[in-house]
Amino acid sequence: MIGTTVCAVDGLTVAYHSGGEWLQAVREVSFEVCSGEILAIVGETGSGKSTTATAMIRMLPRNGRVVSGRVSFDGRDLLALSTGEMRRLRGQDIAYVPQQPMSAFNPTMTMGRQVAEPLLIHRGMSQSEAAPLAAKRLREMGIHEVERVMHAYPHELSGGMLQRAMIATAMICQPKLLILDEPTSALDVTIQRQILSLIKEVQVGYHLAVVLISHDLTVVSQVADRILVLYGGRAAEIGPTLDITTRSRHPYTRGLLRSTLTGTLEHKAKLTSLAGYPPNPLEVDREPGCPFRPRCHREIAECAVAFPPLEGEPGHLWACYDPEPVS
Amino acid sequence: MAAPALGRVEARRIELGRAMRWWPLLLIAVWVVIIALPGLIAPQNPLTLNLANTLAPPSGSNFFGTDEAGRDLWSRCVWGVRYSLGISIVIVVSAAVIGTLIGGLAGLLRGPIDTLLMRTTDVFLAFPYLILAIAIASAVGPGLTTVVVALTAVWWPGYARMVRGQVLALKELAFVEGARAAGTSTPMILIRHLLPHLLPQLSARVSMDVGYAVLALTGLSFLGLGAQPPTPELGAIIADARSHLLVAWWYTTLPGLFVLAAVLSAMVVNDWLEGRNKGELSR
Repeated sequence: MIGTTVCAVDGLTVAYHSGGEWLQAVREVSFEVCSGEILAIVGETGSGKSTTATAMIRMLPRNGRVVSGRVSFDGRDLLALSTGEMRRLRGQDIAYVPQQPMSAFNPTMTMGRQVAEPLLIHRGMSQSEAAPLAAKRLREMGIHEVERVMHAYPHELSGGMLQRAMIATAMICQPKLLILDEPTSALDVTIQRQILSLIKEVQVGYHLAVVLISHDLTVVSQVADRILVLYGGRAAEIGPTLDITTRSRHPYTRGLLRSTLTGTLEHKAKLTSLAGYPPNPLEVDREPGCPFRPRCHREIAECAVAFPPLEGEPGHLWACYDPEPVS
Repeated sequence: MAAPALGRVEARRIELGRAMRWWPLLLIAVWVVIIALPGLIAPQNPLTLNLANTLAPPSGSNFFGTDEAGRDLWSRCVWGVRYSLGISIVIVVSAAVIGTLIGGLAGLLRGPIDTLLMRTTDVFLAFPYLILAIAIASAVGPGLTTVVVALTAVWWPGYARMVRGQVLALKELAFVEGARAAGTSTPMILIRHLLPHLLPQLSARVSMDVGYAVLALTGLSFLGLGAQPPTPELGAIIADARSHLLVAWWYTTLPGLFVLAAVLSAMVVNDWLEGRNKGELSR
């Protein structure tokens, strides 16, 4: 069941200062996440997916800046909040799980102290008050031997355990929005499955709004309710998971789907790779047209003139002048 | 292939070798006892005059002999450790705390605050401590407070620079981003997350600087800028002893040996801590 809008991103444009000039890494990206749904943001390296997430929680690197757009959360404009107000939201109402669970924990602190940390910061609890809550949350995330894990240092745990502990830390203050940056890419395939189903379980159990960032369309389509496909910092296509996986209209989304195994091989479909390379942000910035144009097999004259507007059916939008036909 | 079983003697030798690695702790303990309980080791009052027994050579009742006022030199040296080494530790530790705070904030906040803090640091770094001590002494008069202020003021910049450099490297690590995502504030990140990473280098440097501080402190007292008579401070004792150098060799030599022992101990502890840090890095 999908509830009310928790977070809405509207026309977000983010630029990085590099080599003496500003390069736009994310342009005019808009989407919203409701409670009780998982929105997946999919794209390749440099497509702007992580930038979008870090801009939402105002943790862009020092050389990054939001040029325009709004991020509203619970009716407040996050980009207009003071640093202190934003800090109080982070870890309390908005939880962010950074990439790489192995290095996201402090190697000099025990897991128990780190999982409990948001309670100390936001609820003013003492270590002894917070520890049982941390243990309870770890158990909820499917960690057995909680006592051992609480007193363990990060290097003593496996990647899957650390990712579970990471989600436990994120969930400890019961946030309304959970943002996960590539939660499965550092893990092997069987653990990926487990973590994905854990994310789904947590999201359903807490009626949470989740933003799930990944480069792997097939992996996220197992759990996501809706998918946003980014290319060259722009939204290429957005829609319900079923529409994206079976009736996608953007040639890039089709290309992504054709290049991954879908599980069934009986129809002997060929796996094809997308020709060409991900776009160079410098060129994307200078040329007015569609950034996917050099790799697209459906290019028409308009593609070089201006970026195609996002349009389509209610709920399913694509940015293409000559969309793929629905078979 | 299994290693041959160790004989009892070899095993005991290895045990002993393992225990020997901790001997600098024993050294620290000895100095701590001297600083904390000088009266236990030297029961005679270091300030009691005995004009009937001046410049007496070492004997059974006066272990190190007496000075020109008949005071027991052993007592004066032991109490002198409390002043010279104790105050040096205070100076270096406060310099380390100030330097860590300033360097840590500069490294974490960057931008104009960083520039302001680090240029201030450079100004202090460029100031020779002797000149500063003379300047303060001429303003408020010589004394231990003068020396403590002067030495702390010139000692913290080294720590600020070292900590800033380390913080710049550490803050790029993913767990700092994780802590920030959890809503941890900048001072809390410094104290809770980065300080444990800084402690090995900080402690090694503190131990080394305590040795240098003992030399600087006794040097300033020797020049008359620090401890004033009759305070039993090692530098001041040696200054008093200068005029009796030819008739009472023990009067300068024994306090001098105490300074040497304190500085040498600081170097040994430093060597030990640095060895431990390296061991931790290569493990």
